[in-house]
Amino acid sequence: MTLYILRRLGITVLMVFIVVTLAFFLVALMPNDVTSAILGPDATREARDALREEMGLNDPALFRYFSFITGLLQGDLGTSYVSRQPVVTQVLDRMPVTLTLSIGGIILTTVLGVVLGVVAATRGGWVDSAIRGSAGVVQAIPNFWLAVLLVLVFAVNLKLLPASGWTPIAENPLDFLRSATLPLLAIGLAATAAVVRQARVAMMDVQAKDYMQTLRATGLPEWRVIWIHGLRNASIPVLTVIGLQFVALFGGAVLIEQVFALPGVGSLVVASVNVGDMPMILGVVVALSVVILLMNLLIDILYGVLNPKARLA
Amino acid sequence: MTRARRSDNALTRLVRRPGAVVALVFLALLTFAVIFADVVAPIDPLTQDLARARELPSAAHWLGTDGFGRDIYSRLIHGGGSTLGGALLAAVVAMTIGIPLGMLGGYFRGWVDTVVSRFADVFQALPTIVILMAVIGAFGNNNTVAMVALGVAMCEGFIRLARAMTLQVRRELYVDAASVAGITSGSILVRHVFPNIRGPLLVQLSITAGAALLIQAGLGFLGLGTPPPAPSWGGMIDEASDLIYLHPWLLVPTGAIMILSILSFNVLGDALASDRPGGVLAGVRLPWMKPLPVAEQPVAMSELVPADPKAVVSVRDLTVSFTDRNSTFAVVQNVSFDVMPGEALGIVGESGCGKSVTAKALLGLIAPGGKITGGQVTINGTDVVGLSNRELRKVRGTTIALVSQEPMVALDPTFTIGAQLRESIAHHTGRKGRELNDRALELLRLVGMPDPAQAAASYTFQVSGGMAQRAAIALALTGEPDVLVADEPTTALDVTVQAEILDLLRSLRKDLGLAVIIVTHDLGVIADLCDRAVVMYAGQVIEQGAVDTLLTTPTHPYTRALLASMPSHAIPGLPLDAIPGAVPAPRDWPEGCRFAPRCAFATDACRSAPVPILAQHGGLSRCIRVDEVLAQSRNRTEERNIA
Repeated sequence: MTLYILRRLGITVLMVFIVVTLAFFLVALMPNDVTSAILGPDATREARDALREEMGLNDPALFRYFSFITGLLQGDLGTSYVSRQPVVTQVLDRMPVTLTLSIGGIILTTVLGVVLGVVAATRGGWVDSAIRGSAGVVQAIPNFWLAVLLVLVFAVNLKLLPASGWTPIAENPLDFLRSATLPLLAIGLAATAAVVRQARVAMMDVQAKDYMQTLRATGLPEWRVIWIHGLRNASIPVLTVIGLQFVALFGGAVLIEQVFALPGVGSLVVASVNVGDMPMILGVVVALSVVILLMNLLIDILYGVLNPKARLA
Repeated sequence: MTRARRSDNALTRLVRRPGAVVALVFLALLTFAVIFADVVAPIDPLTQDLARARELPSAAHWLGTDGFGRDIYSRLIHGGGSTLGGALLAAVVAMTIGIPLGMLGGYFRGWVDTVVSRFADVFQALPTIVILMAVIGAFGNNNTVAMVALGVAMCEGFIRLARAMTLQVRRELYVDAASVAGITSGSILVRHVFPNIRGPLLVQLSITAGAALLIQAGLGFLGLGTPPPAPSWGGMIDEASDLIYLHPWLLVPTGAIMILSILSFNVLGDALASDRPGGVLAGVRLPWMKPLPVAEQPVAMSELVPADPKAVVSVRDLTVSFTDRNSTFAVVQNVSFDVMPGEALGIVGESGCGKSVTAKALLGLIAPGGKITGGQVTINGTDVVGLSNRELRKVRGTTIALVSQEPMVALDPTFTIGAQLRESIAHHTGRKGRELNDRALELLRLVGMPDPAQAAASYTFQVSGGMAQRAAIALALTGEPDVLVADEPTTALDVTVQAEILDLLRSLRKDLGLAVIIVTHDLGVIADLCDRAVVMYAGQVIEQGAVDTLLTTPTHPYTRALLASMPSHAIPGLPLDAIPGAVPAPRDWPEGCRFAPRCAFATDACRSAPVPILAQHGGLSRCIRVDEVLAQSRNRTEERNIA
């Protein structure tokens, strides 16, 4: 198992490196003139040139790449063009909200998706049709539209939950729950539908396996056959989909944070794109890729735990 | 006469699915409307009329007006160009990049494949919308650039698809043949991969278009992609969100067109995917639907021999039926037999005769779509037919246990052998902790595992087939059953291992007083292990009796034919007597004797009416020409003696 984890860890580090490199060159080789974003369109040519020199933008791209990587290894992601503050502090400030949304969302998605998928696969008949049909429709609903609809229903009409804003959990746990409920629902439902579909198919495949019949023949209770043996085997393909959905949830966070005016990384990147704050965009890309690849590592480890064949082969 | 060309055209097959047709028509109409937006929606989408702002649908404005009094219908149709067009552009770009890359990876393999796969992984490691924001940050806000970038970011699905297809085609012989013939690799790929990939490609294209639509609208919602005031679907949802207190109606048409479009792409993709041969699931039947017709399967009712009160298993008139989308039909019909305590009974017949179904039905295990539709199965005095699963569970494992055919897949591969034994022992006996482990090891020793402790710590994929079968037998013994049902327990094993497993079953019978019901197609196994045998053909018992007499003087031509086809019974110098033809499918069972079409003894009388099973020469036989069969057997024996 240790060897397995080490190998996965190695792949993760390599992937972070590749993603960061690609993101850097995408940003470094951009045709946009950053100086106009900072100095405004009316700045003089001299002022622009001076700024470019000061920011080191006249250095060769490879040189800038190496200084970026050196900085990254020391936890430095550069300075925002706009706020002139270190990128790292701002990204870290904003991270808890986005992590709450994505991790909370993935937990909601996994639990709900797996339970519904397994129920659909094992019950069959109209239960299966109903679950499968709703999953298909839910998957087609844009999460930002759903978010606005949820605000309309639960905040504007029923006045049950706040329409926007965020209360950190440390400040007031109850208000935190109130402020997080609608965003989590909006972000998690489509992902849940995707997991339902995968879990259903996986469980149906497992149901047809000989060992399920063997287990039933030994007289084990049905719940153990399905929820312990069936689920463990079915969860192996489902894990892959959960990993992909985790990435999708981060994408969703960008939009959902906008709807609910949440102070997360998503709204930070939207604001940065609108003003052309490239170091900030790059910083967010790096931070997100690290979180996502760490999550993938966790999923790989879980995969090894659940599937002895992957671990021992 | 020319055979009708197999319809493998995805579009023609789609037409048979109502959901897919609706989706296709919707998308076609929408595309038409978007292309001819000026004709279909003549009101200018940008003209403001603040006096008529925030109106509900009316004759002048079919879907009402937005916050600036602009016509919503017109904005949706005109906005479709950047949204729908952008999504299609992205999907096409993804396909154009992904297909060649995937084909390269699959064809050349090695480092090319590694590079291509890693390239695909990179885009999976980041949310697409964040990649797009970086691109927009770098290149400025331009919908076309963003959609091309989106296509690149989404090419991963096409890469995987093309790669898998190429690998598959490459493995097939004809590509090797083409290589030998000196055709360049490029033209091999194009000529052989493309025809195979067409179906899945359409699926991927449809699903990608749906996903791209969602992302394009997401960008629009953030004010990117299509800059306002130009209409886009995402941008209109953003406007709806701003007007949520004043004009919530705006949310309805914008959401509806988005959901319907994405749903259509997904439904199309699903329909294409499940329409591939073999991918169709049996239709769901709701209670109010008309009952399915029952297939005509004539059967002769035989007088029921009363169950022997000493029997541990007593089967009477057991009928098992399956339902598919066309009809209900029996696969096992009116089967009756008894098993005495400690007795070994063989159930023998070719594949498709219903012997496995019969054996599993004894434990109430029937594959989905099937059920026991008649008869009784009495186990230790209790009729188990019609019992709930909960009640059946009291019998399973403790009275009657199962060993199945494929030992390597008979145990859960994610738990160790020991863990599965302990789980079942704990369930049946309530033992805990150390006692539990001791009992598991004891059982493993009992089934002849050379190293029980190591076996307990292993997974089935780590041991040999013979060892896996021993483990499966140990699992079957955890509830200390009286009867062991072994469904072709040696078929999947090597010949030497087969003998070991048969020895094991024999010794378990002797040491534990276990009754064994063994299902096999091999009369050698029957001769080796069993006291009595039941011969099944086309869902019926056709002969039953003591093994000694059954194997020496069979009364049914089918048993006789089975015997003659055994290699050990071959007469040197004469060809082996294979039985001509094949077992008919349950729906094609003949009117009269079911074996008649393959039988050398068959007469018109055999074919005219179902044949009952009757007591004959110490056993039971379902043949009206028993005397002729026996006479010829005698002749054959004499011939053999002379030879």
